[in-house]
Amino acid sequence: MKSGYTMTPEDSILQSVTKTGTACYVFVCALLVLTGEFLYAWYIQLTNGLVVTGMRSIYNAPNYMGPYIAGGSPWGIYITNFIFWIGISHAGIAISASVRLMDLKKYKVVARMAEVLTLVALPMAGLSIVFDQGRPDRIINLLVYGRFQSPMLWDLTAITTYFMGTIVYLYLSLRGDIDELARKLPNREWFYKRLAMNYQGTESEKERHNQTLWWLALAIVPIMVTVHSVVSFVFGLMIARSAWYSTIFAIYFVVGAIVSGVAAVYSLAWIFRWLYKWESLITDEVLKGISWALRNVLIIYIYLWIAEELTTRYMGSSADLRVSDYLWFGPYAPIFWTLAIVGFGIPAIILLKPIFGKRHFNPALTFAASIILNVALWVKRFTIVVPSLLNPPLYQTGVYIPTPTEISIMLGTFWLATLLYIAFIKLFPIIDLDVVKG
Amino acid sequence: MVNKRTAAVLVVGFLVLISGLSLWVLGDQTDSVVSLPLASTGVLWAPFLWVCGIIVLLSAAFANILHVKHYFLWLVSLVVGYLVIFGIIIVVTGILIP
Repeated sequence: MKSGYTMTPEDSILQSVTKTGTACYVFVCALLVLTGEFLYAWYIQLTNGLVVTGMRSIYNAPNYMGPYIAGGSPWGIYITNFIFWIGISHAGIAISASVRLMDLKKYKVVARMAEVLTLVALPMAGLSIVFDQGRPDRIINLLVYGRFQSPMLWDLTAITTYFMGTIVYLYLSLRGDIDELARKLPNREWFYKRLAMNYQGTESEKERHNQTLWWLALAIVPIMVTVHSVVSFVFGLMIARSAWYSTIFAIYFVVGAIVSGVAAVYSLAWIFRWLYKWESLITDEVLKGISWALRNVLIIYIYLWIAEELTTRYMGSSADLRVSDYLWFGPYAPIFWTLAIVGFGIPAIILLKPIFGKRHFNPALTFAASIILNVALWVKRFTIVVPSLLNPPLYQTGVYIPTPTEISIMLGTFWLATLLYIAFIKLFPIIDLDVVKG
Repeated sequence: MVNKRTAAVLVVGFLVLISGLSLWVLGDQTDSVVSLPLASTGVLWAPFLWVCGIIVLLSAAFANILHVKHYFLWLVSLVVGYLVIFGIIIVVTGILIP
């Protein structure tokens, strides 16, 4: 930058589109290599079948008395990943819709980051299901023969609705900025002009956009709640599996999703602020507001978790207690207690600290808490999915160890999501230009 | 205030959605074909019909904003794009799965 040149707020926002440093190229190249490794792992799985994963319906385990049949886990890290990505997608439009519906102008600065997060996360959730299928080449059967009694079809319907709603919502909120970009970046004018689809930018047109977005936001909030409730029904309606059949599951999943989504938006806001020196745009006040929301939903989530554990420990069925014992005192105890203390306890303390005084809010520390929370929520979903399957009522306890192939495929969704997010910020501003226009 | 064009799209979307659900219910043979759960619907593609209904309903947001030509371009892109995702998965995995 030339000395003496002061960057306008608009230019500052457009840095993410117009400037690409060496570090970004290196990062993208690394992601491409990792994506290549993921695609190879998926190729291995497709050509050899799900036998290359650690997932099994039953598990033939020899012991000193000869071979015996134990429970395996037919669902593993792919389904965990599916729930995780659906959760991440939650906050995206939820935050954006809340900003619009409740007129929270201060948070408009993070609205688009959140919307894009939803757009990127939902396909990753869908992909996780595709990975879990033995014959993904038959996926079209869902649209041809789908049974309405199956929560799988409810999932497809709810996720499709949410995804399409997100695309429409994002386009409408972005259209004005696309038109602006057509004027500001002449070398890409052909692309933006076509995408803006004859946007005039008149006051009446802006008014129509705002009205439509308000109604769309109103429609999207219940859709968002539906999506994660439906995900929970895949588990909560299954009486044959221990520790799943529960009335609390829908709200438990929805609140968990909001925690992971809000944590992800905080992480993104902090990263963008740090990368582009956007302290004047994403102020401490904004970060603090998001962290307050995160703290409140986290407390509700911990409360629901305790209520669920207490009910099982106090008067659970023997099958439920078997799963609970497996988690509390069995092979999964190190995971369970680390999750409770490090995964949720420490972030809760960090997030509760600012209650005792303004000076206690530390954006960087809260960023660490948001990252820990998302890792913890991934593991939490794992402890919901796998232990119940490993302890089936008819067999002895089994074993599930994800294979390197499986882990590579699961991680692939993270590389892909990051690549897609970077592609978006290289094409469109990640902060609504209206924020600086007033 | 919802204008006429938006209202018309909302009605069409709702009708398509209801048609998909109704066809599925009418063709449902769950009681008679319990042993063949995948063949429980007598009307094929009924789920896709209600998915289309949902897409049309959501695209009502564009109806009062975009030019008619652009509106249909978006609508077709959403439906075709949705099917293309399935198509890519089926073709790629179909080639690789022995």
